Amino acid sequence: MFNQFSIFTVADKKDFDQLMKKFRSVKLKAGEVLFNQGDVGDTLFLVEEGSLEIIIQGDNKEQTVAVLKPGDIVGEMALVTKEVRSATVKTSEETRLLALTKERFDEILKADPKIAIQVVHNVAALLAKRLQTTNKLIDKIAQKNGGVSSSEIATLKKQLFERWDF
Amino acid sequence: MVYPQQEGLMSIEATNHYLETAANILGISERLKTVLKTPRRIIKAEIVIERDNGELATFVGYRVQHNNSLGPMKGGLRYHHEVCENEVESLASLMTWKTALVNLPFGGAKGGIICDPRKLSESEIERITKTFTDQIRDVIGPNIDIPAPDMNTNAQTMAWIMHEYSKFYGFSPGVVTGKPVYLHGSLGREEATGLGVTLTIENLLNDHQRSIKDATFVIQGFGNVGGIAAKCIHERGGKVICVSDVSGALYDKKGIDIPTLIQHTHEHHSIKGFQDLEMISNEALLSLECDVLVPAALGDIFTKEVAENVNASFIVEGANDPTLPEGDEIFNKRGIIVAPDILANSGGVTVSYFEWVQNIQRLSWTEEQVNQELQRTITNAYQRVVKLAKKENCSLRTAAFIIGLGRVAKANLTLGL
Repeated sequence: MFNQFSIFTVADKKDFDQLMKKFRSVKLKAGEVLFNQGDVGDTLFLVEEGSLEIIIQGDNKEQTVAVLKPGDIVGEMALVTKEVRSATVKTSEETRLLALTKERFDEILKADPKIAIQVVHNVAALLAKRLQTTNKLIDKIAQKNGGVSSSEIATLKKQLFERWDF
Repeated sequence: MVYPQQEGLMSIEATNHYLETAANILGISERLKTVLKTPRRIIKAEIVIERDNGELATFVGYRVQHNNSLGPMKGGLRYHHEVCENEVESLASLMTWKTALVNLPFGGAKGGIICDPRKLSESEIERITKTFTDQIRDVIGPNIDIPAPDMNTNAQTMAWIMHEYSKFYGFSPGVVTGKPVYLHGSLGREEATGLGVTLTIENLLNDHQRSIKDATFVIQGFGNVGGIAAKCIHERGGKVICVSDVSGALYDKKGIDIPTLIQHTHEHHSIKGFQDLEMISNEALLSLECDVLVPAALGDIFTKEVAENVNASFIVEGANDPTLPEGDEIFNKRGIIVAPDILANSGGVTVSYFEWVQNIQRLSWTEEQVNQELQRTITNAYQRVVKLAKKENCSLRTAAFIIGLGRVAKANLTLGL
């Protein structure tokens, strides 16, 4: 499984093994919640086997925004800051994960900064990529909410005046 | 005076649900819905005053001006320690739909100051009111936005606002409504909401070949809305068998002597102990057998369970938002006819409109004239709602929201967004 998880790409096998010792294994049944949107998180998870859904809860509805497969990572922000989870993550089948807490990661940072710096660098690269995707999404939403098209107005106006006599 | 019940801040979820239903029937798209729901302007003011003990204190006040496509914006100003921007915003939009439904030339607004009036002296409240008025004076006015009394504010509060505003813009009684009658207020304004509820009941019963005279009534609340409604119903020969306030509910199946009870509350500030009548719980009140049930105190009381136990043929909503969507569904299923809040309690804003009209024309109407016009306005609104509900085969509530929202949408689209 060396290199399977891109943010844990490190220079040599020995370092990688060192890193992996800090993980603990987590097994979940189908339909179990890994964490809820709004929880304070301090743990990163790697998906080894199975799959999970990322669910965003809005005012009245919830929406699945992504599905995690083996090799995917979730909760990587937890390694940098202890912030609230931005989404709920729930298993869709029996799933095996590897968990790394911020505390354990900080131990590596102290004991072997060489390994830790590589990992932090990888996390930064991943976050930068995510930020780009988010910015594009914001643009799209802004365009969508920014205005109501004139044809839409014309249609509604016609309909309002023809159908309703209040 | 009749003491109003301690009322909680109302929930806005239910109103939003009913609005959504109406928007979908009208075919208003998600995007346009957002445009219509968004307020024109939100003002937040820091109010610094000197307390009576010489210390400085800061309060935060809001005025949300929601929509002015049908006229100057209109809505209450409340003083409460739980006031928050979101809620004021929703209440402002509710005023937009309500004034549109009743066909008044007004838009919607609402304001609130975060403070606990029970912990403030009269002169401190005066300073808060006048400082706030000073801070918002360039965005309110008889042709812009006209505040009115709401929770914990009254005719005195309105007099202070008028006085402060008039210092800068000259004699301007039309900047607020709900003023004292001897200071450019209107006759009939205090009683307007309760009378409006009664007129709605009259219309509803007439439509079903019934009359107030041969009906029984249960009224939750005995304040400015419930107390006045009870009085008006009693005057018209109706039998009020149960009324309540915070101390509990008075029950007499032979009918309560309302004028004597009002006298009693003047003396004891509570309905408790009246003629040794049986007291029952507020929950028991809601399931009493009667023709018309009038919730006139609290919001969010008709849950699914409570709605299932209601034993009335008609519900006339004097309070704002008494019915949760789940309760509404049960009422529709059980065939209980509900006159919705935005119709049934619109008497207050309607007579506020008459007060504004009198102020602008510099003349005053007789009480008879006010009540006659109120009857005409409420009956018109009622008939339009009933007609639309029949045509669309929907509840009176959905019809009322369709008219309110639809009129604003028409106006907005004609004026240009």
